[in-house]
Amino acid sequence: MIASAGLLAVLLVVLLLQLRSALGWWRGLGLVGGGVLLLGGAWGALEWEHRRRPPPPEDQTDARPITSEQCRKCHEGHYQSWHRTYHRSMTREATPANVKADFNDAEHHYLGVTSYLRRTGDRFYLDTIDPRTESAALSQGSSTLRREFTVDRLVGSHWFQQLMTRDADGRYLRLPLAYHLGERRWLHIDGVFLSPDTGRYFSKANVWNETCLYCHNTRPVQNPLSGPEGNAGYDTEVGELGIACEACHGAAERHVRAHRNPASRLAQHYSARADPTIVNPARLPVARADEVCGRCHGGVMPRLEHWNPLTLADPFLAGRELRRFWHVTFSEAEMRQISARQGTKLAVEPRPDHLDGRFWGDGTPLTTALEYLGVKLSACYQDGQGKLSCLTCHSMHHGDPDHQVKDGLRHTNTVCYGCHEKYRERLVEHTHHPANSPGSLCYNCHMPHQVFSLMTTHRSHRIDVPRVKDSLGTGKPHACNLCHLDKSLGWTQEQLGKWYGTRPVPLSDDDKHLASSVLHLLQSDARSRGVVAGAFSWPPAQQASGRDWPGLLLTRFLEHERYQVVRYTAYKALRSLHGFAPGDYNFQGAPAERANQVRALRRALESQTRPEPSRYPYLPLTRTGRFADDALDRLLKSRNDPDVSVNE
Amino acid sequence: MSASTNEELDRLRQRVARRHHWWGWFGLLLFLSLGAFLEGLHGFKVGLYLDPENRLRRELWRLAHAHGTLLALMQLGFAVSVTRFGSWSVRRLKLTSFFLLDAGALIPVGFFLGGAWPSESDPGAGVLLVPVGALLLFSAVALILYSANEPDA
Repeated sequence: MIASAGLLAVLLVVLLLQLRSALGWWRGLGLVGGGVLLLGGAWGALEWEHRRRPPPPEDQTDARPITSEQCRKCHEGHYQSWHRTYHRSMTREATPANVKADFNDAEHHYLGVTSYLRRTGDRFYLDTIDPRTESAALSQGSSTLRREFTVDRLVGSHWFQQLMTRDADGRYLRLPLAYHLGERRWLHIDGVFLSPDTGRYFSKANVWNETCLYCHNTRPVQNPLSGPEGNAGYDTEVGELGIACEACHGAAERHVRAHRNPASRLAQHYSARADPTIVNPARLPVARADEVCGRCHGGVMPRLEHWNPLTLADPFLAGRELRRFWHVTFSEAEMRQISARQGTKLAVEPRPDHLDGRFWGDGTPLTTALEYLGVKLSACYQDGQGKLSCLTCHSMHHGDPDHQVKDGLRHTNTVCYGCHEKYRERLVEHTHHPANSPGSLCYNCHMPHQVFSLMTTHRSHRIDVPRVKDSLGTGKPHACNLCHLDKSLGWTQEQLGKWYGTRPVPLSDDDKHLASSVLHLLQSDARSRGVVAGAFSWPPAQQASGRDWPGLLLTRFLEHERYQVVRYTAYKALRSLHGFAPGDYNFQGAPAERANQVRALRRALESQTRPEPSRYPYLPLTRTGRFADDALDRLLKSRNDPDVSVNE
Repeated sequence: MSASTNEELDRLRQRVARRHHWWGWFGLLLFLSLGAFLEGLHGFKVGLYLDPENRLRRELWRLAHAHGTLLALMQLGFAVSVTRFGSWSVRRLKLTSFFLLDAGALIPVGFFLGGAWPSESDPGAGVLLVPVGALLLFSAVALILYSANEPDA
């Protein structure tokens, strides 16, 4: 800026000298002055035009939403880097450009119901049974009444596309089929989420306006309509479908107005001060910046006493205090109690109970969209007073859109070394694993795949020391045993004691002598079974644990697994281990169909693999390399299998 | 008009013509070279010119090239015409010449500097030279038009 001002000053002097030579001093000065006044006046007119407009409302909740297309006019680079992300396409209208699912006269069969998915012109339809005669259709196998639903809106574009249909009252209802983008197949919604089978076709028919709205869109306003009998529908509005600029940068109307004036843009460009008209999370204090992510990745509950009861517009905007408008909770028990007390926070936060659908017994989040809570529970986070932030590893504008991890951070310990520099030189001494092995990547032990959702496992964001005691009675599989699947918890305890001097805790005989994965698969509830079944797909775990025995165990496991999504996860592991085709096993098939398929898989495996029992001292193998039926039956008989749901 | 004034004006017209002739060809050489340089950036697929986030730089440097070249041609046109056509006074001729030369430098240089250090949405502050140059160019053209409208001296 100083250089530019200098250049302008030199220019004026040269001009003045030229004018003096032509017109003399006074006329020259007059002409230069006139020119300066002319240009200055034009500048001032711009400023005046900008100032005479009424200012945006003080409460930015009511500010006019600004869309990404408006932001694009000035921020093309940021627009493009955001445009790649799955955040952008989280919610879309069902147009040909947005629909990735197969609507080419596809058929889907489930519970004896055949549904058809087709496209006519630019519209998409699901033809299936009429919900009003669902019971008759399911019990008698007849479906005299059918109904064609228009697919109006889509939720998801990364893992699945879920279908929403709009009714006459503005409700968007979830339809019972979803398309798995990785598998390229239609699924019934019962198999997408970890929860017990309902036996119903129209299950999980959530109302988008009440559930998906607040996290999957930008600047949401529910606008419920009331009628004589209560809710009469919705006039829901969003600033933009999907997660767009204002979700992270706050209300932008003031910013747009201020920067219509090129003078203010230029001044801001050369200023080191943060722009007061917009929020840049990277410039916020750590705790406040992470609340921007925590709004949707923190499993929050609304504090409705601070909301507009008529519009139910989300009053949280980036930069504001999250807890003012949303409860941040650490167990479903706490959520239930807050609901029961109509929003009053409890003095003592209850621990997660044994059926919690969001947290393991030790408090660690067990599903996605709770990453903010995981980080908050981490010692490394220092309650937001340290250096670690969501933005340390993630960015909405850089890196692979798959997980939004910044460039150059994948498969490295770079971030951890930022604070734990001493381990750079003493890595092997600390990890007791070869330097370039998965066992020497900090996050494999301190952020293991203990989270289940979206039909797969994910890394825990609770950066933690893997303690054996945290896996006793909590359901949470131990980090070491998610890689060393053939080893027992007792073995893990012994290694940790030897390497780090960890004090042992009392273990049962089975925990000491049987592989932890076997115990979880055969005895634990479905949450743990899903996580452990998922671990068998992980290449480092396959390498560390051997590939010749899991197939034999997983086929036995599939015979007894009642949760669809856990069956899917186990079969995915079988496919990665033995190359079975996706069609060799239908995890949503009828019991008889699945039993036949599992028998065929077992026969194929028993002819292929014969693990050497001496290599696997913690596996209940016979001398011939088969799993001992009596040992597996004993464990299955004492399986703890309550109805549980993972509430993603 | 006295004979000495006429001689002074003729000498000035010759001087101005030579000056604009030289600056015209120099400007052409400079801004055609800039064009070749930009072609080179295209040829070697240089990111600082072609990457999508550098869209603004590309646009501004192309404007610098185009304006520089056209304004150089304008200097040559002025050099050719100034000795033959129009009714000039010494004062008006000096002003026109200065304005035209200044505009020929300020406009392309402003565009180039604006593109050298742009922000995501706007050119760098160097672009402020452009409106100054534009004002001078308008003034020069108006003066030429005024002189051309009078009978030849």
